[in-house]
Amino acid sequence: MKKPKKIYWWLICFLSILINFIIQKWPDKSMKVTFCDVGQGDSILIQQDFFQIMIDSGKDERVLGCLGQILPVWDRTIEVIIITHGDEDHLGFFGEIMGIYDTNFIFFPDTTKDTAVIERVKEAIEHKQALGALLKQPILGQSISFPSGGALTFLKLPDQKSEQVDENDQSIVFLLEYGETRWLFTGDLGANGELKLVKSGLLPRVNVLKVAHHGSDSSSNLDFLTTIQPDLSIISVGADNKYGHPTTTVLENLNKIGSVILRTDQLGDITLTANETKIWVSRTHQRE
Amino acid sequence: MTKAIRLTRLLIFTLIKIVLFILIIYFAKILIPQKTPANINRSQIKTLSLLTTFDIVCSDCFFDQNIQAYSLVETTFEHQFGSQGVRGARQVFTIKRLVNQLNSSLKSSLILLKYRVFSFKKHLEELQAKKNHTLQLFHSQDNLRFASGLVLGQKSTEATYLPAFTNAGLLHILVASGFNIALIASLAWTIVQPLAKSWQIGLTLFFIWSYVFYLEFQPPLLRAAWMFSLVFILKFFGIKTKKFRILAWSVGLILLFQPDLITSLSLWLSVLATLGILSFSQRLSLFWYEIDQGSKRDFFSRILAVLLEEAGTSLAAQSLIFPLLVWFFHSINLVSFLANPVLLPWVGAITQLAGLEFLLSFLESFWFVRVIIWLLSELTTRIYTWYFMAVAWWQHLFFLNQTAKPGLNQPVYLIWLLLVGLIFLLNHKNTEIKNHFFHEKA
Repeated sequence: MKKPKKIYWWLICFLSILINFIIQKWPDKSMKVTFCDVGQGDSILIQQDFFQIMIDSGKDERVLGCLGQILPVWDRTIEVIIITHGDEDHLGFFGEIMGIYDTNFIFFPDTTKDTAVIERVKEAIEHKQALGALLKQPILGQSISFPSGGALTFLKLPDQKSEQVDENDQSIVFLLEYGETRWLFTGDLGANGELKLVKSGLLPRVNVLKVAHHGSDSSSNLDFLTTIQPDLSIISVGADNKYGHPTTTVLENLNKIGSVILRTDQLGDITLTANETKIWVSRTHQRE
Repeated sequence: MTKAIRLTRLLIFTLIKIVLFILIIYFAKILIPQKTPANINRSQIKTLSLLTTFDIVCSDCFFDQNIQAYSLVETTFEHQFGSQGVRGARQVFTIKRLVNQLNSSLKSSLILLKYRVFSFKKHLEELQAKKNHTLQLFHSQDNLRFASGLVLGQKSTEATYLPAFTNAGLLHILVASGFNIALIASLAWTIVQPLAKSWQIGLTLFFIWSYVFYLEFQPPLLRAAWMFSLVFILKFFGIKTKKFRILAWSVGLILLFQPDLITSLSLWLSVLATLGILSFSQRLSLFWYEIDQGSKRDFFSRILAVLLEEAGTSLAAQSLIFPLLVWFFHSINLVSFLANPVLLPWVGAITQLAGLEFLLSFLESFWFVRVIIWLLSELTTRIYTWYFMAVAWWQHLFFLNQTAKPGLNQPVYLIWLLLVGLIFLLNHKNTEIKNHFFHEKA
C-alpha cells in the first residue's frame, strides 16, 4: 500500500489544532456574563450563543484584551451596545470598539455632558448608523430578548435634563433575567437614584449585583442592598485608584447583607456562567 | 528538496504575494489624491492656510492685489516719463509680476503638499492605531509592545520586560534597525524574483522605502535604507560597490536632506555599529576558523559555530559604539557580550513571525485571516513568554554590569583604545601574526 504523503500528515495536524481551538471558543446556550478588568471603569459583556450585549467600554484599550479572549475570533458583531451614561470611564473607548466590531443596536441615553470623548463616540455612532445600525433611546420596561431564553429589562432611565441632576444618577439601570437567576446592573447610580428605585417597587431580589460607581460611598446604601439581597456582588474597580474605591462603608454594607464580593482589581476579568437555576464563577483571568 | 517541502514553500510564497498585492492596492487607494489642486476651491484653500498657519489667506486675493499695485505704479510712471520710458520699465514689471506669480503658486503648492503630508500622516497614525487595536484582541499588552518593538521599532517605556532587556544589553533589538530593513529587503527580493531585473530593483526599493515611510523616517532605518538603495542601484548599473564608501555616502545623503540629524545619537550609534561590523566581523570569524570548520562535523560544533559567529558580530558591533555608550549612558554592560550571542540568533525568526501577524492584520476583515492570526498569536505568545524568561535569566549575572562615572578620566577608554588599536594594527599589514591569528592563508 502506498504511504500517505508527509504534507497530508502536516495538514491533519494543523486541522486538528484548528478544530480543537474552535471547539474551545464555540459558545453555548448558557448565559455568560464577563466583567472585564478595565481598571477604574466599567465594561461588561453578556453572551449567549452568538448573541452579545456589551455594556460600557471602559476608558482605554484594556477592554480589547478581554474581548479578544471572550469573543469567538470569527465573530465581529456585538449585537447590542448599551452606554449607561456619559462618563469617560464608561464610554471612553466605544469610538474605537465600533471601528473594530459591527453592531445592530446602540442604546445611548441623552447626556448633558459635552466632551471631546462624547463627540468622538457620537461620530462613531453616526458612522455605524450609516452602515445600518439603529440608535435607540431606552424606554422604561423595554426588554431585549436573548435567542435561547432570558431577557434584559430597563428599570431606570435618565431623569429629565436638568443642571442639578448628578451625571451618575443619569445612569440607566437594567435587570437581566435568565431562568430563575436575576442580575442587576446599576452603572454609576448614586444613593438618590437607588432610593427612587426602591420606592418604585420595581426591584426584585437578585442573585448578582454589579455594584454601582465602583464601590463609591455615594452609592450602595444599606436600604437598597437590603431590598435586593444580592448573593454575589461584583465591583469593577482599578487597583490602587486615587478615589479610594471601593470604600469601607460599601464593603461593610455588603458584608452586612452577607453578599460575596468579587473585585476586578483582585481577580482580573471575571466570567460568571449561569444555566437556568445556578450561577457559578467559570473563569477569572488576570491580565498584565 | 522533497516535493512536499517545495509545495509548502510555494504555498507560503503565494500567500505572502497575495497579502502584499492586497496591501499595495490598499495603500494605493490612500496615496492617490482625492482632489487635484485645480479642483480645490477658495474656501478649501482658506481652510488649508488656517491649518498650516501660513500668512496668506487665499492665493487668488494675492494675485489680484499685486496686479492692482503694478497697474498703479505703471500709470504713475507713464505720467512722469512718457510712453517710451515706460516700455522698458513695463518689461521689468512684467518679469517681476511673473516671478511673483510663480512664487505665490509655489507657496500654494507647498501649502497643498504640506496639507497632503499632514493628512496622510494623520491617516497613517490612525491606521497604525487601528491595526494595534486589532492585534490587542489577540495579544497581551506586553506581547504586543514587544512585537511592535521588533517589527516597527516602537519602544514602549511602560513594558514590564524593559528592565530585563536593559540589564541583558538587548535593548537594541526593540528599536527598528538595519536588521529590519535587511528582512524587508530579503523578503521583497524573494517575492520579486520572477520579474525583470529593473522591476526587481524598483519594487524592492519601493517596499524598503514604504517601510521607512511607515515608520516615519527613523535615523537607523534611513541609514540602512540608503545603504541598500545605493547597493541595489550601483549593482544595477554594474558599478563596483565598496562597503565603507556606501556607508559614507548613506550618511552624507541623510545629512544632506536632514542636516539636523547630525546631532542624532541613534544615527551615530547605528553608523558606528555598522562600521564596526563591516570592519571587524569578518576578521573575528576568521579568528575561530578552525572551530567553524567543525560545523561540518557534528551538531554541537555547529551550534558552537553559530554562537561564535553571533558573538563576533555582537563584539564587532559594540567595538566602536562602546565609548558612546559609556559617555552617554554611563554603563559598561558586560552581560550583553554573553547574552547577545545566545539570544540574538532567535530574533530573526521571531521578527518574521511577528511581521507576518502585522501584515495579516491589514486583512483582518476576512474571518479566515482572523483565524490564522489567532493561531499565529497562540504560537507567538508562547514564544514571547519563553523569550522573556530567557532574557530575565541573565539578571542573575547583573553584578557583571558596571556603572561608569561621567567624564573622560576613566581607564576604560584607554583599555578600549588599546584593544581597538591592537586589532587595527594586526589587521594593517600582511604579517605572520595576522596569518596566524586570522588564518588568512586558510
